Amino acid sequence: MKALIEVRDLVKYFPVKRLFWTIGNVHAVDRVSFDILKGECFGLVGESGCGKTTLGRLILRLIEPTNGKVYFQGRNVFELKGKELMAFRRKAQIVFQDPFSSLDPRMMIFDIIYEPVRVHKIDVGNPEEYVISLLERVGLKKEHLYRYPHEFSGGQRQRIVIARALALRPIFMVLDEPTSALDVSVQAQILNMLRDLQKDLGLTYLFISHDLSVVRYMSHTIAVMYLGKIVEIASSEEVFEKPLHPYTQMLFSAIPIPDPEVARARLEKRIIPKGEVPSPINPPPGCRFHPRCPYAMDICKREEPPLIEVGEGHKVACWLYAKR
Amino acid sequence: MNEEILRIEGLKVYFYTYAGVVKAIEGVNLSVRKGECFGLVGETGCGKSVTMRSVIKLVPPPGRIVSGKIYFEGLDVLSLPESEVRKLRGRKIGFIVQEPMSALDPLYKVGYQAGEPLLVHGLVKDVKEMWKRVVNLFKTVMIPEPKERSRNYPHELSGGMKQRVVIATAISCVPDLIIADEPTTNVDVTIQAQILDLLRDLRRKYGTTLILVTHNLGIVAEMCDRVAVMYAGQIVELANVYDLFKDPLHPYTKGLLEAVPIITKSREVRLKPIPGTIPNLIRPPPGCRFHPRCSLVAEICKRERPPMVEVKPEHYVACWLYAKR
Repeated sequence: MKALIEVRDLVKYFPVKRLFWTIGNVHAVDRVSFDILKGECFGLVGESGCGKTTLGRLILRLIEPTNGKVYFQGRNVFELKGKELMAFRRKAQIVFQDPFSSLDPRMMIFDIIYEPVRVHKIDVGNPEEYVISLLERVGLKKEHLYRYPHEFSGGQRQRIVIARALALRPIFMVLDEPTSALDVSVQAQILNMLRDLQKDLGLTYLFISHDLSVVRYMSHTIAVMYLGKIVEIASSEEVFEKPLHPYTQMLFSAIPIPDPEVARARLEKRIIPKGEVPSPINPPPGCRFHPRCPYAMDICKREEPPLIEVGEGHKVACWLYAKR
Repeated sequence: MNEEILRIEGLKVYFYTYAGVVKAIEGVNLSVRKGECFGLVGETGCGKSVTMRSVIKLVPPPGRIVSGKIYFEGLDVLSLPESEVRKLRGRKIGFIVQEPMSALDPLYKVGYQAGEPLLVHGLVKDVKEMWKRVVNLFKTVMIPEPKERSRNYPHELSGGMKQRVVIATAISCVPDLIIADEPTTNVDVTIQAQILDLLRDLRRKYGTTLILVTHNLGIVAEMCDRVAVMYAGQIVELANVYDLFKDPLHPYTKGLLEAVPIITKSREVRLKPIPGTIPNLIRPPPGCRFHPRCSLVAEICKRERPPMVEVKPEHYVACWLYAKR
C-alpha cells in the first residue's frame, strides 16, 4: 500500500514568554517522522500533554511548524498556496473532541453541514437533499434538518460534526478524541459508525486518543507518543502482543481490564508507574522517558535513542534495542 | 465481614428545575458491608453520584431527598440534625470528590485544606500540630517532598497531585467509610494506576470500607468485591464482582459489557452498542426504565417496574425476565 501522508522530521516548539523575554520552549512535537498508508487507520496514543493533538493539527496545517515537512499525496502541505491549498482543505477534515463547543449554537443543522459546501463552491445538486443524505449516512433523520445543536445529545452532536466533515467528500480525516466526551454505550455506536464509514468511503484516518482500548479497536497501525516523541510504532496486533518500549509496556499494564480474574492476575505483574510526566518545557536530556524508566542505563541519560526498525514495520526508540 | 456499615432504603431524590421535576433517584435500596470494596457503576446522569451525596446529606440544590432512609452504623442519617451530620462528614465518612480542580480552594494552601478536618473535629490541639500531621498524611498518599508540597497552592500542583491531596483530606481523620466518586476520571492511565494502588494500600492498612463510584468497568473488575449497576436512577443488578462479569443477567449489564472496547480483544470482534440514548428523567419511561433500549422487551416491561429478585445466592436483578409476573 502507498503512503498517503509522509511526515518528515516535524518539529513544533511553543515559546513560553514572560513579559518580553522568551524563557523556554515547549517541545510539543520534536523531530517526528512516520507514514500513514492509504486506507488505514493510524492510531496515535499518549498521555495528556504528549503532543498528539498538536501533531494532528500540524498535519492538517491548522498551525505552522517550527521545522519539518508533511507530504500529502506527494506535496508538502506547508508550501501549498491558493487553489492547491483549498483543494487540500477539502480533502482533509477534522473531528474534534468536544461536540459541545464545535457546533455554533446559533446555526441550524442544515446550515452547519452545508456551510463548507458553500465555502468551497462545490456542486452537490439540491442542497437540502444532499444534507439529508449526509444525515442519514451518520444515523440521523430528515426531521433533524432545521433544529439547533442544543436539541441534541452528545452522541448525536458528534454525528453532526462527522456529517459536516463528510460534506466535502474528504479522503483523509483526523479524529481527535472523537468519543472521549461520550458514555460507553454511545461511544460504541460512534466507533462502529466510523469504522463503517472508513470501509464504505475508503477513508484514511488519523485517530488520536488517550484511551488505548479505543485505539486498539479502531487502528491498523499504532504510534505511541511520549513528550513530543514517537517511542514506538507497529501494527495494532504487534504493539499489544509484543510491546517493546518500557513506556508502552507501562502504559499497557496500567489499563484495568473488565474481567475480574484477568484484572487481578495482571495486578500481580503490574509495573506500577513511577512519577509523573515531566514538563515539556526543557524536557529531560537523552531519552525523555529515562527518569521514569525501570531499565534506565547511563547512555539513556546522555543520548537520545534513534527510532529503529526491529521487526517488520515495528519501530522502537530505546537503547535496549538500539546498537550503541 | 458480613456486618453492615451502610444501608439505603427506598431512596428518592428529585431535582426541582424550571423544566420540570427530574426524578434522579427513584427507589434505591442497597447495603454495604464493613470492610468491603463496593462498586457503583453506571453512565453519566444515572444517579450514582447523587446517591452517594445523599449519604452525607449534601445533595446539591435544586435537588431534594424526597423519601427513603439511610442508616450509617445504625444511625438514621436523614433524620439527624445538621450539627450531628457534620460530625460524620470527614470524621466517619470520607468523601473523595470527583474533580480535584474544583474541589480545592485556590486561596488556601493544600496542606491546610487537607488538615482542616483534623481541626474541625478536634483531633489536633492546634494548627502547629495539624501541619505536622499533614506532612505525615502527605507521606501516606505518596506525595514527594511532602513538607514543601503542603505549603503549595492548588494551582502549583499537577492533576494527579491534587487528586492525592483530595484523598489525603478524605483519610485525614481515618474514617470508617470512604466514598470515592470517580477518583480517576480526569487523570492519565499511569496516574490512575498509581491512585488505585494507593486506595488499595489504604484499605489494607486501615481496613476501611470503600465505595467506589465509577463508569469504568475495568476499575470495578480490578478493585471491587461487590457491584451494583445503576441505570436512570435505579439499581438494575447487584452481585459479587466475579458473578457479575461472568454471568451478567440484566440486559443493560450485558449490553454495557459488550459495548466497551477491551485491549486484549482482537479488533475483528465488533462492539455491540446499546441502541438509543439515556432517557430524559423528567418524563422517564413507564415500567422498566430500560425498556425502550432493551432488545428483549415484553408487554409487562412497559407497564410495571420489575421488582429486585434474588436469582442466585447474593445475585440480585430487577428485570421481568427473572421475576414472577
